[in-house]
Amino acid sequence: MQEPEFHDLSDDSDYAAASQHQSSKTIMRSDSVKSGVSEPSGSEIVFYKDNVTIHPKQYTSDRISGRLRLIKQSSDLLLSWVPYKPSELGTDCLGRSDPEAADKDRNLYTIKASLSDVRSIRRHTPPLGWQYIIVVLSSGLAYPPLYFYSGGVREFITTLKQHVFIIRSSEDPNVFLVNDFQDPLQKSLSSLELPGLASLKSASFKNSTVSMDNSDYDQANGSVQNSSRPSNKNKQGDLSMQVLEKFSLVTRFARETTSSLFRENHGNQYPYEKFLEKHKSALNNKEESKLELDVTSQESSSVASDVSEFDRLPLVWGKQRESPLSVEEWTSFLDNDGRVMDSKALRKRVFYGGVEPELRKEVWKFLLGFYEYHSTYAEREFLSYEKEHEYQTVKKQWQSISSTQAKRFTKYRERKGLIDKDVVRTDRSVPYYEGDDNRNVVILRDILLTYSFFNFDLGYCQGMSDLLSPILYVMENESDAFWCFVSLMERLGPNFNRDQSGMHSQLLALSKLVELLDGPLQNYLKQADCLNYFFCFRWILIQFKREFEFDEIMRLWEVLWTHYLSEHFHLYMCVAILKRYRGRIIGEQMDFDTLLKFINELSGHIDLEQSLRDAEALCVIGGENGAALIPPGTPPSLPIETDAGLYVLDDEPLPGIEARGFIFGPPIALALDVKFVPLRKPKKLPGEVISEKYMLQYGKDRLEMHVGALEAHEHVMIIDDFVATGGTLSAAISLIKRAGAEVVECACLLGLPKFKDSCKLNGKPVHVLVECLM
Amino acid sequence: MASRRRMLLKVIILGDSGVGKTSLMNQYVNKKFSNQYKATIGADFLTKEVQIDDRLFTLQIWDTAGQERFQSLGVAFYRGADCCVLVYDVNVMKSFDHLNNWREEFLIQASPSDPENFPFVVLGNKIDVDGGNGRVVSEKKARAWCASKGNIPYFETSAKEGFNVEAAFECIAKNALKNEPEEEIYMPDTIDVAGGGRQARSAAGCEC
Ligand SMILES: Nc1nc2c(ncn2[C@@H]2O[C@H](COP(=O)(O)OP(=O)(O)OP(=O)(O)O)[C@@H](O)[C@H]2O)c(=O)[nH]1
Ligand SMILES: [Mg+2]
Repeated sequence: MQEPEFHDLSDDSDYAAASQHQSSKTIMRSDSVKSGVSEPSGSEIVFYKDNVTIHPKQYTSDRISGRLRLIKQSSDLLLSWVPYKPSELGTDCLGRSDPEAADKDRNLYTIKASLSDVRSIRRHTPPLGWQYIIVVLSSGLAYPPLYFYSGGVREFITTLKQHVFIIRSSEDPNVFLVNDFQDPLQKSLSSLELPGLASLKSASFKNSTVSMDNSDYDQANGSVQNSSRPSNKNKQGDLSMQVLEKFSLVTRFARETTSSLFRENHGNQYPYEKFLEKHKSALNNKEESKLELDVTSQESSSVASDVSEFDRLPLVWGKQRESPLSVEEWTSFLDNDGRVMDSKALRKRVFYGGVEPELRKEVWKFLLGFYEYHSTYAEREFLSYEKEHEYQTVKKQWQSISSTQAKRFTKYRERKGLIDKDVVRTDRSVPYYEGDDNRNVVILRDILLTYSFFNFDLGYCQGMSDLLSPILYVMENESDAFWCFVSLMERLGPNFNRDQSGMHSQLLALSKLVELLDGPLQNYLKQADCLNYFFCFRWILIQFKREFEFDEIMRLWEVLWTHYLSEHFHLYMCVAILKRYRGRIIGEQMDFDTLLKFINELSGHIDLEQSLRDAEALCVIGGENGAALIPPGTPPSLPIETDAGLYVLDDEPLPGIEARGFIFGPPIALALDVKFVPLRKPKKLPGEVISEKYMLQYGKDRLEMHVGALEAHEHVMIIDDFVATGGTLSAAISLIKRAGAEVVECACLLGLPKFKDSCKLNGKPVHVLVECLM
Repeated sequence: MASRRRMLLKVIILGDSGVGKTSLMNQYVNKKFSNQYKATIGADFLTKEVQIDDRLFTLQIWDTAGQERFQSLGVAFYRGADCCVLVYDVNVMKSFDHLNNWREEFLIQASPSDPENFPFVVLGNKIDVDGGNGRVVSEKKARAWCASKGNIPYFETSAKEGFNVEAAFECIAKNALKNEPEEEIYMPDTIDVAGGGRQARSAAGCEC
């Protein structure tokens, strides 16, 4: 198979379509000129492009179009962008009656910069809408995105390459670093995008024989290595200092544009953006004269179709992946008792970087929901211990089936046969499962067989062994692996529904996402009769398990399991990968068969990190529109509660927990005119009781309730005064469940912040009236 | 394009999970057997050039997942098949019992124009296991069933040893070809009616 092209997403033909959207009136001559047009001042225009536009206000109706030029002036290259004068278009393109205001705007937004002051140029080729670039200055400030309505970004970059020293960032192929002379020898020569690559190879960096039209470089005492240009990469501190230094130089223009640029920024691309974000309020304080810009009605109507998408584009791009969560960092997420203090921050951290392999055993249990984030070390230890016992109990159910019994138990024999056949075909090339009579293969089988008893209705289905194998590898413990698998199947179980409904709903959602995020591809697939998306079946069924190497799949899964940006991030992954190969899919006119084969053979060739970044960007771009396309209950979302009976009727009893629950429970019960049910400490209640033991911070305790206090199928709400760890409340929930009744929700007067915003405990909402800090 | 398409023979392999569909296909196409094939998820196909009566064809062999839960996917893959191969494991009775389900399911989902005469081939696989001692389905029984379904050709194979695999697929290819109407085969480049070969075929509907 041909190695697919990873880096170049830009395809000018895509944008031909986009530019057709515009009315002919606003299209200027868009041919660009590479050389020859001379200016009176002895400078030479080496590139110009019409219909390059900025959107100063984030509202699509506010647009200013102009001409972008690269002007060569002695040894310097200037970047200039000048908005059109109203007369240049014959009509007033900005539709304004006040020529003075127009001039003001022109001056405000006009760009003139020497390339020697430019640090990088980021190229964006969004799935919908126009290509644009963002020019970042060495000072850390950036110009607003320049949209190339008539295409030509690639041409622009090519021209730049001919005149200044540009290299592609090793971290992001869409970032071109200008004048970046840091350790040029350390960079692989292949990443150098120089016109004269050969001459560079032979050139000694000790002298200034590398000829470049870069005065800044020439002045830097002629030696590349000694270049005193501040190393402005990767050093947050330096950058902040630099930004501070230059702050006094911030022009009115820059203030306005950067503040609007970063207003909606997620603040994570460059360190200085974070810095600026902190100061954005300061920046915004200076009330800027509001610019009311208008565009001709033709223009606004012609672009209206992709407005919603386009609007968000300028500020999104796949974030640089971070390094995996380290052990020290992990401990910093925990309080003294081992509770995860800020689960959202943790999930975010894992989403962007994954976790170190040795931490997986611990962290995965949280991500999968086997451990609750607010559990303590002690509670978790206790849970593992109890669950081990429970596992053994279920396991015994099939272990105790004798061979004569098995003879008359076809269903069991079939299941066992299927599992036996599959485990020997699962990841056998991974050392952990390698070789004959491998013990771990047997454990894999035992867990799957036990699961098929634990969830007899779902049973065993092909694909499950693929999902379990990395989990067992990470957990190295049969019972833990089993319970983690159980948790995972809570989310993915519907993938294996007999009617395939879970798969169909995901494939349908995928199709809608592609329609939103990659219209041309969706159109192609429609025309090629591939809209069922069956070619993505394997991707979705087992979460890309067959598409990546074993260690990569663990990274991908922990990212997916955070459910950080979306529960359906895997669908955005699908879009991201398809989008990357769209050029080939459409270019080679693949039909259904060819496409399926092509997708199957991508296995092992997909760039994980790149896909994650693309998917992240797509997820952000899709935003709420994307989320709205995925119907509720689509796996791995939990099924929508169809249990209509699950609310408290006004005559159902009210259980309260000793001791202070007794202060609040009875008055409420009296007010509602319902029975109050006391849940008490051990040996307090006379008569027959059922009890539930649980772990406290210091030791064990027990809750007891009268047998018969609650009827089976009663739906109740539990009252207590204060919820800190949720340990007692959890025990109360289990106790009531065991009595046959159902807890609908819990209410507490006080609670720690993590219980704010209807947090769930054992799947039951907990309502807290007053949030308290301890 | 149209003439190239006509040279393509599409074959679907069906049968219970683990009977050896993937192994048979790989043995035939790549001449090798591996213990490490993974359970098939979704579907995949391999192609092989075959020569029948001095003419070259591309045999496109589709391998699908065996678990019945995935059968609803079939429609997408069965379309346009020229021959269907039913595989069972001679050591597993159930896999033989299920052959009828597989056959019917295929006919429903692929809805070929002439279901009565649609070519099937049955393979009894894994005859090498235990030197044949673990066998639960006799050859006689299998042949009787094949005879009752309109004389379906029958082969006993071992994907592991490569036994009889070549012969089986040769028969499969020939039967697939039989399903193709004759005029298209013998006048490949002269009657290129707009609309392509497949539609023309069902209209012409010649019986072989
Ligand atoms: N002894 C023996 N083993 C075989 C033979 N053919 C396949 N196997 C083994 O049987 C198991 C299943 O083979 P596969 O080819 O993967 O079965 P399949 O029909 O493709 O199964 P699914 O993909 O699950 O539908 C594997 O462990 C093979 O090694 C055979 O002819 N002899
Ligand atoms: Mg298979």
